[in-house]
Amino acid sequence: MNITKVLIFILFVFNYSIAQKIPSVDIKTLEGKTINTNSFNNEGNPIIISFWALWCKNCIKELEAISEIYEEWQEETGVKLIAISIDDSRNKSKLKPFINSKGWEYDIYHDPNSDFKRALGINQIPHTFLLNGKNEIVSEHIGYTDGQEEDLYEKIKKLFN
Amino acid sequence: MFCFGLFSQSNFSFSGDLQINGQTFQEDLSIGAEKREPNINSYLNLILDYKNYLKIGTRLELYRNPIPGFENYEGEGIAYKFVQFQKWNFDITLGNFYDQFGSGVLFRSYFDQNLGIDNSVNGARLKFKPSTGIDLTAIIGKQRNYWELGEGMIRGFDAQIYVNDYFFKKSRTTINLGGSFVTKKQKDNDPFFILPENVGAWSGRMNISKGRWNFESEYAYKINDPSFTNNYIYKNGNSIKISSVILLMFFSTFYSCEQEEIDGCMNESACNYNNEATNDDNSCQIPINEVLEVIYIDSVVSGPVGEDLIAHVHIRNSSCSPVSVKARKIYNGSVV
Repeated sequence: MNITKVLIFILFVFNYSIAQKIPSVDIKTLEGKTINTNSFNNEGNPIIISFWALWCKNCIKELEAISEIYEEWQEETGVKLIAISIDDSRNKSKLKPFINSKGWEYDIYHDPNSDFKRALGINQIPHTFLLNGKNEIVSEHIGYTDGQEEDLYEKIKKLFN
Repeated sequence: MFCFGLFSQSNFSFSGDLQINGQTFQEDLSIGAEKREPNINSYLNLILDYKNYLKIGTRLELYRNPIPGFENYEGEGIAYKFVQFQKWNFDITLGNFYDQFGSGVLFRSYFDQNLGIDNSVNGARLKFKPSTGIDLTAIIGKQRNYWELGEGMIRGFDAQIYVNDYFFKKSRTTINLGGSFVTKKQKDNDPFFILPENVGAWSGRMNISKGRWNFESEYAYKINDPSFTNNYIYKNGNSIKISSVILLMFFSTFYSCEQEEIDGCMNESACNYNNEATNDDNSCQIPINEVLEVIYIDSVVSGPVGEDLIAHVHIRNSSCSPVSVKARKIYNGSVV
């Protein structure tokens, strides 16, 4: 089919990427205040942005796995994890109790109408981005399998070489 | 799916992503599967950003042949395009946009390519922050309906106030208030029913939180908006949502209450029986006993040769399955 060939051609032509900054989008804090993604800041240290939702089991598995070693990661690399919930507004009030029960130490925000998700072209979650100290996307991955957080940590350490 | 940033300088950045979902079919005689054309859904997003305050973006969509479930999207085209200006306290969008008021009871436009949902508004949106603690939004436009636009013109206004930016600044209690008003203007093209051409709806919401306690509520009211999907109900509707959360040290409790009065037909023998209805609104359509009842409104229709003649005939069905009527050509003015 012709169209298929054209699309595959486009895929190869454009299949490279240059450091991309995260788009500026308004999202909400868990208290309902508006905050712009421009203000994400970790004083020159790397940032992990992880998209998740209450219904997404693999997202929660990934966040739990990182949570266990998060303190260690922070001490060694100064990395910060920002978790973005894409749950819709009706489930917003369940977020705080859930996070409380997990004891997560992350910065957690709510993207109630998926504006940030759309701006980053995300299709499936879990979708995790790694940003360098200049807030540029250096890597991303979709999905989660056990132990994958180790790959992510290797990538964070590489940023310092 | 993959993302790309084509170039990124201090002023301009150009980014996008392309997604291709495909299905191919293999002939398998043992299970009787025939060979078919492959199905492809594809989405290409492109966004050009100038200094973070001017954005121009578009999305091309291609469905050929559409994956089952997306049949109404057959074909390809530009489904989404916008120009957005964000500076000072303004955020102006022309073209397509997605937004929601409050929890989305009154108004929500949303996109999810996996679900085949795209009801973006094509029009204009103005967001304005007159001072910290107040967010105002005004919208106007028509919503996307597959490759076309819906007939209804939507106008909406929303205000959100963060009370703590003005009062009780040092209090541990935070209070957020909000309100919305949305109208839909649509011409009544229905040949039988007189439908309201201007439909209004409003809502108010409040969110209070203090330490480990959080309370959220939203009330919405809408005047009657009879349509095919609600069985032409001429009744105003309302809904309320209240939820409260208390966090304790080791466990948390969650109380939520959502109540909506559902109007509908409560007669079980009616075609449009609604078992969720809590209020009978006299909309029951009960089949008649005769096989078919025909009421002639115009038993004789006449007019000059060469012009269209319109005759009205009412037909009542005896079963709940739809009835189809075929018109026959007649000559010499004799009635059939």
